[in-house]
Amino acid sequence: MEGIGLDRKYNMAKNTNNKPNILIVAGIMAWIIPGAGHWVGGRKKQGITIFVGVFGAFLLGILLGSIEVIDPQYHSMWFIAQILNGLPAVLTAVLQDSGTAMFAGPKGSELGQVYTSIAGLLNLFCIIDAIAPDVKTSNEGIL
Amino acid sequence: MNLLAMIFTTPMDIPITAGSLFWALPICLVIAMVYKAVKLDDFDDTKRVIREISLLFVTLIAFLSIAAVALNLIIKYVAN
Repeated sequence: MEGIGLDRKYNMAKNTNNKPNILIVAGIMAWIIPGAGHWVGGRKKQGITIFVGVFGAFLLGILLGSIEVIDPQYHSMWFIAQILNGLPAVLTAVLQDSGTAMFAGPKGSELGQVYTSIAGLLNLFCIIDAIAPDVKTSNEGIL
Repeated sequence: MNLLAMIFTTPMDIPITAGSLFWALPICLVIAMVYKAVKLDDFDDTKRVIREISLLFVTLIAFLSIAAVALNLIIKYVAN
């Protein structure tokens, strides 16, 4: 894989044997609150950036499409991606199920679904990085 | 309180126009931010971080634009 710049250094097992618990906690924290896994792991600036990015996209999605976009019953495939946002998605799903949301036009809703789902998938990326921080590609920087 | 509840329970009415394509900008910025937060080990050099995020953001927009032009051409000349 060296030829295409994907020379991965799988030294995770060596470095994480001493601290498996903190990585598990970081993974769970990363799911509950986006960015918290990096914060727990000592990468506070990354954690703040991830929180602003992921939670910002989730919130914008909710503003665009209302809390109705988180719908485990009728939009279950979208919900799989959305639930990766953690606590905000769970709380929204609970509120949505309680019947507080009202159905309206789908234009903002579709965009809201896309925003909240992409936010969730980005958070999955961050959860994996929080659990396995030492697995990096060698071509860091410039795309 | 009522206004706040209304904001979160009523979807925005977004017309399907050329201008609605600008809704791609915020999500591209978020993707660039989060990707670089994961990718870069050294996050202390703020100037470099901003440059890297900007570069990825511009690249995403450029390739989205190319894809849009290509799809438009396909619809115009191939599909018809």
